[in-house]
Amino acid sequence: MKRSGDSQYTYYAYWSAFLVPSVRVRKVSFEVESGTPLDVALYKEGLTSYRSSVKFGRPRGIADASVDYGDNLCVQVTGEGLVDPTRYRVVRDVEVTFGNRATAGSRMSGRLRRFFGAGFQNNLFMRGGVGWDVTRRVITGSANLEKISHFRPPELSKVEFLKVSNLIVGGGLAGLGVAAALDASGRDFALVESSGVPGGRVEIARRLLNAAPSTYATDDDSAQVSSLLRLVESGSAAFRSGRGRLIEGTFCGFYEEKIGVVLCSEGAIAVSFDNIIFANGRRSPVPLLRGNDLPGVISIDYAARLAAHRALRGKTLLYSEDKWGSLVGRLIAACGADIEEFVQSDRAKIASILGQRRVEAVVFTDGRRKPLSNFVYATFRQPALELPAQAGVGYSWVAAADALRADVSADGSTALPWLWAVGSVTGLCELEASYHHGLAAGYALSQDDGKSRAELKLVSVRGGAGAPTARSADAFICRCEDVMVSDFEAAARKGLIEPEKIKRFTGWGTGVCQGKHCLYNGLRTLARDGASPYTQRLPITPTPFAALASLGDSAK
Amino acid sequence: MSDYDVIIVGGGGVGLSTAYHLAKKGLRVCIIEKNYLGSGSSTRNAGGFRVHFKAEENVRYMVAGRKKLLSLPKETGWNVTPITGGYFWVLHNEQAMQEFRELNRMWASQGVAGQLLGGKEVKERLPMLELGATVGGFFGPQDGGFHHDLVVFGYQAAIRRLRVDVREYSPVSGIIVEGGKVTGAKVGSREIRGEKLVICAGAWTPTISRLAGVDIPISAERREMGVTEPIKFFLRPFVIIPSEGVYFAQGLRGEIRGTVTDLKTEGLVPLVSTYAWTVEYARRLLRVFPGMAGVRFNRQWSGYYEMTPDHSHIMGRGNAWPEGLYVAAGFSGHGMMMSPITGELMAEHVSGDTTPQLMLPFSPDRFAEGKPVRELMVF
Ligand SMILES: Cc1cc2nc3c(=O)[nH]c(=O)nc-3n(C[C@H](O)[C@H](O)[C@H](O)COP(=O)(O)OP(=O)(O)OC[C@H]3O[C@@H](n4cnc5c(N)ncnc54)[C@H](O)[C@@H]3O)c2cc1C
Repeated sequence: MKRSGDSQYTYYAYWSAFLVPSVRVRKVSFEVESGTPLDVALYKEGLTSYRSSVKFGRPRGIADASVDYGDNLCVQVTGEGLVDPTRYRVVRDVEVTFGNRATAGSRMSGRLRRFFGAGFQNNLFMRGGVGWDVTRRVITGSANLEKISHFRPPELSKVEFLKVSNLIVGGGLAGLGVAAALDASGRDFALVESSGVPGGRVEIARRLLNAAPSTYATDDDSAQVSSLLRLVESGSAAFRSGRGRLIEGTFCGFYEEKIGVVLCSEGAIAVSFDNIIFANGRRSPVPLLRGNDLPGVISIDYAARLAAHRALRGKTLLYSEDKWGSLVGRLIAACGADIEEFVQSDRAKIASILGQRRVEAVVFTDGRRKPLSNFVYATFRQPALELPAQAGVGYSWVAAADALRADVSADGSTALPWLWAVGSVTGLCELEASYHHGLAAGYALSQDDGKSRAELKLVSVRGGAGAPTARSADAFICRCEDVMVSDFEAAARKGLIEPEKIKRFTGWGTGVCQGKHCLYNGLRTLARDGASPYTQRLPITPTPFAALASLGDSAK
Repeated sequence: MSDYDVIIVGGGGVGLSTAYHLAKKGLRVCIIEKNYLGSGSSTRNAGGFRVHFKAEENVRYMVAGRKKLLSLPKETGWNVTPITGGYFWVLHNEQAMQEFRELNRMWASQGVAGQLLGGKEVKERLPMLELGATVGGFFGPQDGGFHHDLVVFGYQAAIRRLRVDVREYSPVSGIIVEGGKVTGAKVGSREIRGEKLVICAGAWTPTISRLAGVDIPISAERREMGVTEPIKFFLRPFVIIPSEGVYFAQGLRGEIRGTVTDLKTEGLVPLVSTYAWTVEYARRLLRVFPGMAGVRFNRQWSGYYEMTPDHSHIMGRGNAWPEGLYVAAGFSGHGMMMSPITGELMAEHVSGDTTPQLMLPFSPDRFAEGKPVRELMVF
């Protein structure tokens, strides 16, 4: 591993020359093994790939593998290698350049934090017509990037326009159930799965089991994973007949013409469909604790990914509310990671997460401190609703259950005959039950009502999300746009209480994660019975113009 | 006895501004909005402002309108975050250059002359663009951009202070006319009584005026646009390239917002996004601005243009209309910048029954009288 010293970086346009003083960028070069995801490689090198908060200049860690932070990670990749634009998987060896792009402007705004408040629209400088010039300096100074001058077009070798009858989004147990039923009924389909390997959560667990020395995982845990793996295997058999195909890529949503766009490592693919079935599962939302935006605060799914590559280093606390999360935590420990589970109780509660540039400790309500390197959260999983919501599946907050519910019938159908949502993304069921839910929908789509009803009987409806975790006023709801719980309170004081208005006022949900992290937490903070999400905008995953421009013409 | 002096139908920029100015005069005002305030075109536009129109009437209107817009923070307490970076037209043929040369004489007479630029100068000023055989350009330094949400929020806060009655999620379903005079509006079975009623319903205006038996020639066109992730601030002017049919600008967050000017769907069709627009915009943008290839497109949406036969707004009242009925709508894709001044003029007109000079050319009867405004610079 070679490291070169500091070097001066000069920004592109004349315009910025006087707005933003030049910035020091540290360059670090090292080799990574072929096939290692870039973020994992960096982590292994002890380099947290992070980006800076747009407004406060605070460092931000990788929050979740399911979110494409793209170029906003402070990482530039140079060299010959082809890099997967959606997940930075390094296909060949490359040189990695690492730089701190926090600008002077953003650092200054970090220091001016107490004058600004979070959310740029409501800060002091934006009001009263005074000082907008100052504000501009801060905001634009902190908006990152020299991308324009450093532009290299993504390499696009594969451009396709696919046409299928059924498009399944998500290859977890629910999506595989749909695929299996469609295949058994002789129907054609395509299934989009971002990891490229079907199985979803179960696949993550399988990788951990494979990585762990066999004696380390308990028999009970292995047995639970194995029984789920059998369902994954029977579902995956659906791809053998050739009627269905697996697309490795990130689904970015679909347009009025019923054409979906999938961002893949080779570019983008357009898929036109008759029916669309969402089976994109659930994820753990970040707990609303102070310090929840620090690098080192990571989801259980991402921790599992790191652990499978033996890259989860240092003392790790697993904050767990979820049985599956505890299971994965034990598998992570079996891989040799130093991880300890913590369950919130009346006696011990976490008050906040502490750290300067990354997590250093947690503080409990009784004042005790515990030094840490990673804070892993396995909060109650919640529907990854941004995709179904974009498609028009209604969701609303049910105060009594403290949960979001999808507006779908028991079999996953909606008021639109071509739009379905199945499995845990509906908030109705999970794991084995999701598989049967998927099968029921697949048979219903194939007009086989008898089989559909039979599968539906095997679905045990499981409601309720569990009690919400703590909520601190200076916890971040939206980490792309720096929106805190207190910003929602400020909005309410101005009479802005509907999601649409809060979104416009604070910027909630309008950043590069497109609501993947914050939509649920925002709605939960509002906690108004019947509250529904703001209108979800396309593309759900930010897509380079080069990829969009290379898509086929819509004339079919 | 009426509940209100004036009822306003439609809570976009125009309706809000009209409500604000009437309430400031001490009138009892109610504003009725079928969805939430700003849900129409007023939070879906490109947030550009300009004084450079083809019709002199519009130029005069926006010279006053610009002042009003830029001083809005003082009135509402909310900064509309203007970027006074100008509008930059990149021109690809001599005929277009000639047209701008002539227009610039008219603009100069209104005190808003711009700069005619040669091809070389255009390339120097916009070094990041791939402009091909540009013959020149026009730069309007008086123009720029602002944030529409902050106009809406500002007025919303201001009318709350002035105790305007705001009724959101209340679609007007009827207008009550008694003895040739408007006396109120219906929202479902509820009746709201008022002395006068102003329709500020943007693209929906004709559906509402018809409730009072009045036809107003406004038609809806769905237009789409979108923004990128934030990138470093580098582009000051609002750039328009007519030969490519594309425009774009950079906002305060660092996002590049833009669209193509010739893709549209007619009618009050659902406000969703299309694949055709998305691919076309990406292709055209990259043709003129290849450096954007690696920048990620982050959010897109659509909204209605409210087009009139002469691409200029309609304000005031028709001679044959029921007494007490007024309109301010049909801004044909440039109404956000005009909303502050429009509210001020409408308030004078409605409260005092005088007609300010500036609004005279835009009367609803101009079409029947054969006196259209003839605005052609709409994109
Ligand atoms: C893509 C795009 C880009 C644009 N770019 C610019 C630009 O750069 N600069 C600029 O100045 N302008 C621009 N515009 C135009 C601008 O947005 C509009 O002209 C302006 O918002 C019109 O304001 P309004 O108040 O008249 O209408 P709207 O904001 O549409 O308000 C009308 C309101 O009436 C309500 N309504 C409808 N029916 C009823 C009913 N039955 N009862 C009660 N309420 C009802 C609607 O819900 C709506 O809120 C653009 C527009 C679009 C679509």
